[in-house]
Order: sequence, then C-alpha cells, then structure tokens
Amino acid sequence: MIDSQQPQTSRVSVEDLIRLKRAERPPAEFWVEFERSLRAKQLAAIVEKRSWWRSFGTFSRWTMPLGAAAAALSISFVALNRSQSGAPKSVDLAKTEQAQKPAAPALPAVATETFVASTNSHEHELPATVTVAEHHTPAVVNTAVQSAIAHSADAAVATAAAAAQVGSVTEQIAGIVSESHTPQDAATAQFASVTEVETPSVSAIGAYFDRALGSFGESSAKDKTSVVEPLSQVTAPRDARRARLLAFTSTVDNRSPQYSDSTSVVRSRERITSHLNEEALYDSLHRLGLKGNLVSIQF
Amino acid sequence: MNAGSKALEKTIVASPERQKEADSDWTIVQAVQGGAVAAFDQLILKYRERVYGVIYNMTSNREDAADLTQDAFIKAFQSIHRFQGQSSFFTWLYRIAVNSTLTHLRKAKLRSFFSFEKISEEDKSAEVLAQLTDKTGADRELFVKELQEKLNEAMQKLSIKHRTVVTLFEIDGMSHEEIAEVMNCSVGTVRSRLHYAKQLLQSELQKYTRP
Repeated sequence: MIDSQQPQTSRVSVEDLIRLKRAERPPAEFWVEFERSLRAKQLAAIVEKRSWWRSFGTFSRWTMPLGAAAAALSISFVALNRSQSGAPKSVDLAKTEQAQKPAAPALPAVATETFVASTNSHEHELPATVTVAEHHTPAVVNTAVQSAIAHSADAAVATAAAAAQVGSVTEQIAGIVSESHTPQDAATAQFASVTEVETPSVSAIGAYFDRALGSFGESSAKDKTSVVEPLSQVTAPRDARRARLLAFTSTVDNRSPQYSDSTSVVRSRERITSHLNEEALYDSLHRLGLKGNLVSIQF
Repeated sequence: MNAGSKALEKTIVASPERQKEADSDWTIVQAVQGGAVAAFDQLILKYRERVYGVIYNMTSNREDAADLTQDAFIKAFQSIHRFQGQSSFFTWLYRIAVNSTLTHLRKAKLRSFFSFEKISEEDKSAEVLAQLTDKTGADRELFVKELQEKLNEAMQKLSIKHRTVVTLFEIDGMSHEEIAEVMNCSVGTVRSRLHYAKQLLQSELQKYTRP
C-alpha cells in the first residue's frame, strides 16, 4: 500500500528500506533471558562429555591419509590371500600324509596298555599290540613300543616276568632294567640284551617284534585299501534273494542226491535261475495293476 | 608486537577502528586461552547484538535467532583454543554464526515461519519512515507493520547466500572483503551476489521507492 499522501520530495532507495531492518531490535528484557539461557548452555557445554567421534577432529592432518593407506593395504592383503587360496594348489603328498598322521604324543598311552596286555600271555595277545602299531609308521611304532616298555615300571616288571621262563636271560634283563636310571635306558638295554643272547624264548620275543614291525607294511597297506564306503557294504535286496534261492537249490541237491540228476530237478533249477533274472521279475510285477476292486494283468 | 598481532596484520580489516578492535579482541582471546574463562563474557557482550542481528535478518525468526546466537557463542567458546589469530575474532565468530545459520536454514527450509521484532523508530529509521508516510497514530503503525512484512517477504525471496550477503553488507555494514572472508568466497562473488540481490529487492519493493 503506497501512501497517497507521501511527500513528492522523498528519495527512498532500496538500501534505505533494507537499513530499516537495523531498527528491528529486541527489547532490553530479551537480553536478560538471552543471558540466562546462554549461561545454562555454557555450563552444559563445559560439563558435557565430548563424544568419541569428536576426538577425530583433534587428529593431525596425516591421520586420515595414513588410515586410508592402512585400510587399502589390509584390504589388498586379504584379497591377495583369498585369491591365492582360491587357486588350485600343488599337492605335496609327503606333507599331506604327515599331516594326516595322528599326533605322536597320544601314542605311548595306547601302546603301553596293549603291551601290558600282551605280556600276560605273550604269544596269543601279540597281535593286539600289532593292531595298534599298524596305524603308525615303523619309526613311530619302534619309538612308541620302546617308550611304552620303558614308560612304566609295570611294563618293565611284566616284561621281566614274561622272560622268567628263559632263566638267566630273564635275570639279566631284570637286572639291566633295575640298574637303568631312566625308563628309556631300561628299554634300550632290554632290547640290547635280548638281541645279544639268543635263547629260544628271547628269539620268540624277537620274532614277535619282527613280526609286529614286519607285518606293519602289509597291514598298513591293507588298511589303506580296506577303507570301504558304507553304501557299498549294503547289499541289495535282489542279491539277498538270489543267495537265498541258490542256497535252497544246493540244500536240495545235498539232501536228496537221488534227485539231483533227474529232469524235474534240472527243470526246477532252470526255472529258479530264470526267476533270478531281475528284469524279468520286475517286468512281471509291472504287468500287475490295481484299479479299485479289480486286479488287471497285462500280457 | 606479538605473534597474534603479526597475524592480524595480514587479515583484512575495513578501517583503523576495526584494526584496533581486532587487537583488543585478540588480547581477550589470549586471556581466555590462558584460562581466564570469564573474559569470554566481554566478547559476548560486545558482539551479541550484532550476531543476533545478522542471524535474525537471515532467518526472520526471533526465537531461532536467539538459539542460533547462543549456539554460535558456545561453539566459539568450545573452539577458542584453536583460534590462532589468522583472522580477526569477529570475522571468525561471524563465520561460525553464518555457517550455523546456513545449516539451520537448509534443514528448516520447509517449516520456516516468521516472527519479527518491532521496528524502533529512531534516528535513520524515523527519517526514512517520515519520507514514506506522513500518517500518524494507528495508521502510521499499520503502515510500518505492512512495510516490515513486505521487506521480510522480499528478503525471503532471495536465496540463502544472497540474503546473507545483503544482510552482512547493508544491515551489518561489513565490507566486501570481510564478507568474502566470512563466506569463504571471492570478493567478486560477493559483489555479484549483492548486485543481483539488490535488483531483486528493487523489483519487489518498487512501490515504496522513488527513483
């Protein structure tokens, strides 16, 4: 609304109008309230704990570039590792076999038990010890058996008792064992004495160890080949049926040999054999059908 | 002359009065940095009306202006240990205030409403108003209120940056150089914005002006 009575001499510019806004000032009481709330905010700002992320602002100017470089390096390292692990590896069979072997320290406990058992009836129980030893390399077995013999005093005593049948040799072994300071020494001395004195019983014990260690290769090879998948162990129903029928025919032959050559027996045998044909059997089954109360047969 | 004074020599100051003012501010700032926290009150008392005036004319809302002014002083107080005297304190304080206000205006763009202070008719404003109308009493009051609304409407039609330049130059009386330092732009940009803003205001307020 322009004032119609406005003096014609006025020279009001835009700047003059804008500067009118300088006159828009708050009253004095406004500043009292302003002062009060500013004090409250100032106190709150002093007491308030700074957020953790504000501390980033105080870092030096090299912090961000260094952090970015470290992050890039770590990412590239991880990516490189993943790409290498994804690529096909050259398989080191020796290392793989070594890795697949059971831990050596676990062996002596098992070997000790088996050996103690074997010394009670040495000839009959020997295979049990061998069975345990079969799962390890000869060196490991040798060490394990020696340490097993030497590891416990019971083992040494049992060995001495078993060797009591050979008289002086046994006494010699027991004496060496008792004189030995460590179990390992005892075992070593025991084996040395056994090999030095060739008596029948000692040779029997030696033969046992020879068999045990010698059969290791065979049994380990057997173990490797004897790994059979569980599914392959399941016999199919048709195999069981075939076996049952064949068993029946054989019993018939054995129980009544007078009929074994007769034509009826031959025919029945042929019939049974023909029934063993699975395709024919399933084909005949497929010809049977059920529709409600009716049984249909296809020819 | 200490290091702070040397730094202030490089800063852009409009006049010897401003230079003197900047030196006294730097002394107070050093005291605050040295642990005399109460010295900061002097700076608040000195600049609160000017800072409030700038923010008020940018926002056209007295409540928002009061809050933003307080926040500007709090931020300045919290960051005063980082003030190295590379610029004058009031330029630094204005930069904090203007940046806070710009952020606020960008956030509250769609929910802004106006609340005005009353125009006090004294000195220059009374003279201008006398040239615009010879009405008295209630009619004059109505006219002044209508003029105030039209002025603020015209100001709000400007962009935030143009409005800031007009406020700092025409209302607060800062130089182009100082505005350029506060707004972190070139002096040419300041002049260009100012020219464009005045053109727009002229077209909006032409019925109140006489060429």
